[in-house]
Amino acid sequence: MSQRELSLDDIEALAVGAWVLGTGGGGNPYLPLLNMRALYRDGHRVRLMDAADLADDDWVGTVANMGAPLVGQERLTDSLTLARAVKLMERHIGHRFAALMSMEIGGANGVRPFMAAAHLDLPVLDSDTMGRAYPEAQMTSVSVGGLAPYPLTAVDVRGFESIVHKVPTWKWTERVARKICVEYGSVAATCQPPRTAAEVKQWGIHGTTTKAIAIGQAVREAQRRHEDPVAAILSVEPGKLLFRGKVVDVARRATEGFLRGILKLDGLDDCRGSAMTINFQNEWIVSFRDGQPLAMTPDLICVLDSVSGEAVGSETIRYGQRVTVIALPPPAVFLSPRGLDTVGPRAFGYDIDFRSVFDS
Amino acid sequence: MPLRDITLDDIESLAVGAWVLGTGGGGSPYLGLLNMRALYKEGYRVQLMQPGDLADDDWVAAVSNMGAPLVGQERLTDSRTIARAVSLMEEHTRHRFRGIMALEIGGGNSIQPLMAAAHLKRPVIDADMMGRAYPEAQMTSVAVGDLQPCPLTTVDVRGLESVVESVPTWKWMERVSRKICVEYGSIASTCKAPRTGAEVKKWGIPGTTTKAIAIGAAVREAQRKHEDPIAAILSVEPGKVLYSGKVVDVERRATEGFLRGRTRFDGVDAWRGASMEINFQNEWIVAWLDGQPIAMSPDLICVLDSVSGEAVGTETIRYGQRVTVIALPPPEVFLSPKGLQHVGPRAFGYDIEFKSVFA
Repeated sequence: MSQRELSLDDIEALAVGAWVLGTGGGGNPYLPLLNMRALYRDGHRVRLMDAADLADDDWVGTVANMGAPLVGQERLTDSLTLARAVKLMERHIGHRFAALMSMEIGGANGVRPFMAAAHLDLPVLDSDTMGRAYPEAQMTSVSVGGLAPYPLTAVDVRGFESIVHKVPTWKWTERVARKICVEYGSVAATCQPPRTAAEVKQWGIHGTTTKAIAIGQAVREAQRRHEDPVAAILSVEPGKLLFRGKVVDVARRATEGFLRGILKLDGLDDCRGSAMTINFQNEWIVSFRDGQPLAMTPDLICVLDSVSGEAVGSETIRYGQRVTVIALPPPAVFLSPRGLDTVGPRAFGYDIDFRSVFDS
Repeated sequence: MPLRDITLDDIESLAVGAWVLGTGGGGSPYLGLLNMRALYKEGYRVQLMQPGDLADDDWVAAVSNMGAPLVGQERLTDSRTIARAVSLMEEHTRHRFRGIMALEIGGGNSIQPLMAAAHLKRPVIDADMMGRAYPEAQMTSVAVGDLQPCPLTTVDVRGLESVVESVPTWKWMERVSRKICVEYGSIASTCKAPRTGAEVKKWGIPGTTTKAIAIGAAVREAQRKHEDPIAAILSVEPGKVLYSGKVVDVERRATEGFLRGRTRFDGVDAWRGASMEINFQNEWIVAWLDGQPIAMSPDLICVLDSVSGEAVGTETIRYGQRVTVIALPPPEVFLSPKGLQHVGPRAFGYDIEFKSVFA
């Protein structure tokens, strides 16, 4: 298959869809969207391609910003900084990349590979390694696949450049890279461990950029027509509506570099008289309906504004908002025993067995 | 000059002399010495090369252990780890090093280059970048010379390996590499920014390994002959006795990754009735006699056991010890206005003008 040039309209839709797939985390894609608008105005264009069209021994660069989303709102990541993380990796490993891909399609990192790609004139693969957003480096399909957890490059806008050259485990990649990032000022552009196309074909989560664009287009189209945007999402994705309600309480704690807390909702419409709580660690992790666990990671729990259909993030949700909670099915790779060890409820400290809302 | 074989006896002396030049810090060279004894038993040998014999375009590795000395006493650095830091730098920069030198001749880091050199079969360069020990990465002759601060490699015994590829300043190199080191568990073997032969000849502090060996040999010889070991040091180095006394108080605080504090002494012999206080930040920084500053960084303040002549460290000095305080002259490079900015008393937070005891 050939490469497909993305229109700016596709990217606008990508920003909306990636935020839905962010499951509350990953940071709002709005700032990268502004970057992409500026790049398109300057004449840059980006292309999307399938991993299957690469040769097995091609190299793929995986791009993500690391850090605290709140800091990222003040210290903006410009597109040249992301491109520099990729160039540093190419120099370090001595290979040129044939394409870039996203580490996580959910949230702002769903758009960032395109910022680097615009400068480097590389295509972006229609694949990522989470199919959503997750808070830690070891919570990826490539980690589940036991692929090499190094090297990783971390750069920042002032010219800092570091390389995590070797570590024994993904958890150590997370630890060392996180400390570098914190010392930079809690935001760094990273190029994650390079992958061969063969590895991406086997362990990547495919079609996720297209999926995010489709979700975003459905929402935007429904908004234009004044139709129900949540129904529109469910018309393009095999999701389930879990709850409609109103935010009655949000308890947030910033701990160990994460935003943790509990969201409480009172039911509206069909759900009147019922209550939902959702525990989060950057992302929505476990939802309880009337005290019983209902949906949990790796199922995607998406909290959407009931009127606009756009996603609501764990860092911005507030009292009184009318929201609709839906679940979307998780990537198959996370449903294996090893996958559940990596991202199941116990990986987040909840002593419950995973049960998918899509099993019944 | 040809390469000179370093004997195990030289290394025994180096350990004693480097601890004197550590000016209270740099960590005891004892563990490094044990490593070298084991390596020599297995047949490894190291050689010493004069910096003047480097070609201008040769590459030289500068190595040191980074971290908290107290942690270093429990998580021992083996010689292959420091060698790995050098190999990683070679892989990363694709330069082959002609020789290996010390970042700091003072304390345990004086022996790290020998440990790496034994495995890598390269000579040790008879030079360092401090002429003593200092607590921070920007307190070096190469930082005074505004040479490139990067790249830097850090590795640990479990196989963690990182490269700090680019930073704007030496101070930032200190900050980023320190955080990596802390995450490793507060001890890492590092290879500092590679230097060319030309840079080492211009900005290195030459002859410091030989100097440390000479000091150590003098102390050990005096010990054997039951002579005064401090007089022996002063017979090989143009130093000055500042004080002789007894430790009456030690106050230590571990703050911001440093061991800070002060030690107070009551005088004995010629100094009876006079009291001295020395402030430290890992190393002895400023000495006060009856309230007046009499010696300060970059002059080397060495606190020695009055009987054995061996150095006493800031982390081990304790109440009741009989000590003699001497000063040794500092490397020239730190006496320039730029040098004093990096390592003068104000760099350590003391608002006093530098005045050398040798002026």
